[in-house]
Amino acid sequence: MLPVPAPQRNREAAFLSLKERLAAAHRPAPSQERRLPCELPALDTAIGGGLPAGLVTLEGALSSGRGAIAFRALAAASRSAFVALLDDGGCYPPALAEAGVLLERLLIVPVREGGLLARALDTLLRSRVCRVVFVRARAWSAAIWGRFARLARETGSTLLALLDGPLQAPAGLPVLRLRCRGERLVLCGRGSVGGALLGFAFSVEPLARALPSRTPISLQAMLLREAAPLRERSLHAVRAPQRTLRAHA
Amino acid sequence: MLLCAIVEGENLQQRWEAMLDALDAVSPTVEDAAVGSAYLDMHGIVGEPVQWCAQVRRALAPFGVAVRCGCSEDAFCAEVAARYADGCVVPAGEEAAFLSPFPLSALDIDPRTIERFVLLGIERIGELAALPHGPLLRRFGARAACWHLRACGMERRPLAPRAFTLPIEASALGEGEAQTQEQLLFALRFLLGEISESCALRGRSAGGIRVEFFCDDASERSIELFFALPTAEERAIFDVLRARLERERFEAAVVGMRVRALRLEEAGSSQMLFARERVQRQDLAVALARLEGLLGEPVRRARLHPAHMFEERFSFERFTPDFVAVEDSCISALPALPLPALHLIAEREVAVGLRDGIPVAIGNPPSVLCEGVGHWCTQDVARELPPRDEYDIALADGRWYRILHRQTRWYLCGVYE
Repeated sequence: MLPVPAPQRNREAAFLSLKERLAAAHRPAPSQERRLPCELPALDTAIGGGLPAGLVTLEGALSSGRGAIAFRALAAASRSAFVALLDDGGCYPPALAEAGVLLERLLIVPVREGGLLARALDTLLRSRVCRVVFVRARAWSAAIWGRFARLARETGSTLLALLDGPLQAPAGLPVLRLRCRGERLVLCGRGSVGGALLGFAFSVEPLARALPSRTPISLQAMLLREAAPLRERSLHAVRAPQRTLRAHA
Repeated sequence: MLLCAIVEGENLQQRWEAMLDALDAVSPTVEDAAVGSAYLDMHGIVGEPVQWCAQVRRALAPFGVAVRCGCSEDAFCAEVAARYADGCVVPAGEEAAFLSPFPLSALDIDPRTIERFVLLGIERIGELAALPHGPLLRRFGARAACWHLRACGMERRPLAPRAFTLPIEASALGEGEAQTQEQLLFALRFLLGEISESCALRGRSAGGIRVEFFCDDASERSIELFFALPTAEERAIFDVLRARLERERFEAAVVGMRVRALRLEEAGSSQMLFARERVQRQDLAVALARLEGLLGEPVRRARLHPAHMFEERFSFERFTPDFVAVEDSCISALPALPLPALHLIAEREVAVGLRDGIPVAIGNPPSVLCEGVGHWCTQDVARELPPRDEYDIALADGRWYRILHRQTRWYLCGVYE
C-alpha cells in the first residue's frame, strides 16, 4: 500500500471532525428534564432515568403488571411531593400503602361520572400541585389524550394512564408508552396441595422513540414479604392472590 | 385599686378570649397577662372590692371555671393575693407586710437562684425585701431590681389594656342586584378589596372567610372557607372563593352580600425562598376548592386502621391542606392495640336507631349504644364481594357487635369476644 501523504491525512481528519460536529448539531441534546425513577433499575435505565413529565401510558391486559409499575411510581413520587389518583370507585388504600404510597400525600379524587373525569384531570394538572396523576383507562380520542399529554408536559407532571389497549397517539406527542405483558406465575411449594401463589412475572416494553433501549424488560411482582413467618405466610397466601391481583390489575 | 383574676379550668386556651370579653362587663380596662390570668383596673368603678370580686365570679360563671381574685394597688401583690389567699383585699401601704410571709417562689425566681438565696438564709419575700437594694443588684444582676421592688410592694407598673378584636367585615346591601356570575364576582371582588385593606391596616391576616348571600326571594346562603395559610391578599382570597363558588346555583338574583374575615391572626407568614418547586399551600387550597366545586364532594385522603388478620380497615376523610402533618409525614407503624376476636356470623337483620345517619341504638326494644366507631369500608376478598360499610358498636352491658349497612337496612354480621 502506498503511504498517504501528510496533507491528505490532515484533510481527512478535518473532514471527519467536521462531519462529527455537523452530526452533533442535529442530534437531540441529552435531556436535562427532571425524571421520576420508578425504583425498578432495569426499567429506569431503559427509559432514560425514570418516567418523564408528560403522558405515560401503561398498556396491557388485566394482571399484566401495569398497576404494579404505576404504584411504584406513585410510591416514589409521594416521598417528595403530592400525588393524585382519580378514583372511579375501585380505590383500595391498603394495597396502595403496601406498595409504599404515602397516603398522607395522596389526593383521592372521587369521580363518579365519566364526563367529569376530563375536567377534574384538567383542574389537577393545571394546579401543578401533584407530581404524578394516576387515571384508569377511558375511551378518549387521541386528540384529548394529546391535549392532556401537552398539559402534563407543560406543568411538569407525569400523567400515568392505565389503558387496556394501545394508544393511537399522533406523532410528536410527549408520550412514553409502556406495554406490559404477563409472563408467568410464581408459586411456592410444588404447585399442588399446600402450594400458594407468591407473585407474578411480567415484561415491560418501552415503545417511545429515542430511548436508550427498546428491548422488553422482565420484572417480577411479589405478593408476600419473604421475611413473613410461615404461619402468616400461609394466611396471606389464602387471601393475597385475590386482593393483590385486584389491586394491581 | 387593681383586681387580679386567676382562672383554672379546661380548654382555657380556646375560651380565654370569650372570658376576657365577659370581664369587659366588670371593668373597661382589662389586661390579658396570660391565658388564665387577667388584671382589671377598678379605679372609679362603683362598689367595694368584695363586690368587684363577686362581679368577676358572676361574669365567669357561665364558663364553669374556678376563679380566684385578689385586690391591691400593686399588680404583683394582687396576683399573690389571688393565688394564695382567694378574695383577699390588701389595703394601700400594707403590701410589703402582706407579701413578707410568702416563699420566694412566688416572685417567679428560678430554682437555682432560690437555692443561692436559701444558702444565704433568705427564704421568704420579707427577708428579701429587707436586703439593701444596691448590694442585691451587684450580687444578682439587674433582674434582682424587679424582685426587690416586687418584694417591697412598690412595683407600680401601668396596666396594658388588651386590644379589642374588632370584626373585619364588608357588606353590600340594597345597592342593586347581581343576576349573572360576572356581576356577582365583581361585587365580591369589591368587598374582598375592602376586607383586604382593613386587614392590611390592622396588621392582620385572615385564616378564613364567611360570605353571606341574600337573594331576591328572601333566601339566604352562607359559605365558610378556610385557607391553608392566613392571608390578607385580595387575590388569594378571591381565588379560593371563586373556586368554591363554581358549583353554587342561586335560584334568584343576589341582592345583598356580607363578607367577614375569620380566624384573624397577626400578619406575616413564612415564605419559601429557595424551594420554588415546592407546592405553595395556597395553590393546593385553590385546587382542592376547585375540585370540590366541580365534583360536588371533597377530595379525600385514605387512612388505615389496625385490623384483624383477615381484613383490612381503612377510612376516607376530607383532604385538608395540612402541611405540618404532611411535611413531617412518614408512615409510622400502627400502634399495637389489643384487638378482641371477631366472630363473623350469618347476617341477621336488626333494627337500628339513627341520629344524623349514625347508629345510636340497636335492637327491639332498643338498647342505647355506649360507643360506636365506623364506618369501616371492608371488603371480603375471598368471596369477591363489593366493599361495604360496617360499624363496631359497644352496648352498655359490655357486649361488642359488628353491624353492617346495606341500602336502607342494617344487619348484625359479627360478635366480638
